[in-house]
Amino acid sequence: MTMKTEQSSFRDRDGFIFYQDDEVYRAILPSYYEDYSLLKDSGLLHELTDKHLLVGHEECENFTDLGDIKLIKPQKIPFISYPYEWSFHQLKRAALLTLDIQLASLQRGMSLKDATAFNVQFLNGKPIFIDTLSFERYKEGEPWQAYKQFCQHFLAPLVMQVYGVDELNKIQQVYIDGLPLDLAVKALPFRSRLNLSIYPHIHLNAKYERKYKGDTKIKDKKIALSKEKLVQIINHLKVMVSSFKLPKSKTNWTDYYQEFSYNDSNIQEKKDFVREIAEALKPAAIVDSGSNTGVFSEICSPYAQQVISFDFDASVIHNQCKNIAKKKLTNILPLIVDMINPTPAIGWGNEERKSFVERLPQDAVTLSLALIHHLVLSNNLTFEKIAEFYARFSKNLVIEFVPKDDIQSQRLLVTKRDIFADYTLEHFQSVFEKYYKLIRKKELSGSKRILYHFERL
Amino acid sequence: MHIPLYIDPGTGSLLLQMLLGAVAAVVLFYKRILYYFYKIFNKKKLEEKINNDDED
Repeated sequence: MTMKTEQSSFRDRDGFIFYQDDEVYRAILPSYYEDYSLLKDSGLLHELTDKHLLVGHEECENFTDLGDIKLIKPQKIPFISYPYEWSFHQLKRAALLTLDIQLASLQRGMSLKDATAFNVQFLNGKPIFIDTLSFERYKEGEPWQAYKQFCQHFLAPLVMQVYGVDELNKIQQVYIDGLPLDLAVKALPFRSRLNLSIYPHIHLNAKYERKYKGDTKIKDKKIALSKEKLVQIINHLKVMVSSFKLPKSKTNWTDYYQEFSYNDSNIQEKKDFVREIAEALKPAAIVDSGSNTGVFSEICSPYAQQVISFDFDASVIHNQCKNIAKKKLTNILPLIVDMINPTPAIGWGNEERKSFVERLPQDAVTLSLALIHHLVLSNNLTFEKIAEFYARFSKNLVIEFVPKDDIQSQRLLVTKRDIFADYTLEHFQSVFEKYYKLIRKKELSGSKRILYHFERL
Repeated sequence: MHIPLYIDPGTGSLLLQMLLGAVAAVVLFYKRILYYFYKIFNKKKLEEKINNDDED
């Protein structure tokens, strides 16, 4: 019965999240009572939760010794992901959700007081807003307080990707309060200034910020904007974000990649092996490590409550998102995470946003297909390290051994000295059997690759 | 300007919204004029469209 406060909810002084007995609670402090009443009485809460735009919650008795607080129990999100793990497709959907919520709020006399991308999570294949305390009374004539934050968290990273800036997820990790607009302006090509939609929100915004930063005289100045104009600005943002597309060159090569790696004849055997295990175990969570196009995540989808599939390649994950949206495979959550350098913990005390490994479900069924040769031969990892890592969160492990004389392994060794004398099947199996019990193995026809199903000791 | 806040809205960003609002108003003004003329010159087409929609 210990109460554990969520480390990331210190920013808002109107309430906080805490965990108790495996449940999530949100404490609402008296300073927010008025806005909370308005949220309910205006019908906004009902409208947003009804449309699944905002997580639902139930009000509960205050069982804590925290004094005058209100307690609510929000719907649980099975896996918390962060904006720097999302593909372009996911970030765009999260941005549109935020704008839709702001429009609905304005209609009912409220406004979002913040617009961080951390307020959005993915549930059942859709973005959903999780911060019930983000709503405040709209005061006639006020501009949107969270506009700058929206530009930093959503607009800047989207626009940069539209203009082909690569590896953005890694840059986003560094800036916990969104990409500084100055940085975006420096990274964007000159032609982005000619875009009449983008220029004001990014370039001009950065310029204004620089010009008026710390200007104390501004305090006495009246900044007024009618609601009609504010709605027009939000609508304009919505039209602009909806039109965003990744440049063609970013999406085409992944099709090639897809064909290239999945044309082998034994793919059906592999699919059957994975399907049989998923079907037999019906786990809460399946983790598809190095998922590539997500073929095996799709196979597992009907048998697990949630499939978390991750790959380091942003365009592969972007395409997977589009693909599963089309097929309505709502329990798959694709994320951009590099297996050899997973998302670190960031923020105050390195506790505010958790590392990827910390957030992984316990007792998952984990897939590691056609990956081990990359980990060992390209990244010099040892079997020992790999087995220990998987054993931390995987009760069951489905792993494919790719021998050294396999054509894909040979490709990796073209420019490298072969220092991997212990990269043998026998050594592989003996190391993994320190952590796992062998349940089943299967040689794939036409190759020397072997599929293993291990269960943690 | 007196607003209690827990995030920094950025003075520049607030001022910019005023400017954008003004621009939006001007754009809307011209769009309305254009739509007015569009309606005059395309009255027939519009009527046809409305009729067709009814048939659907």
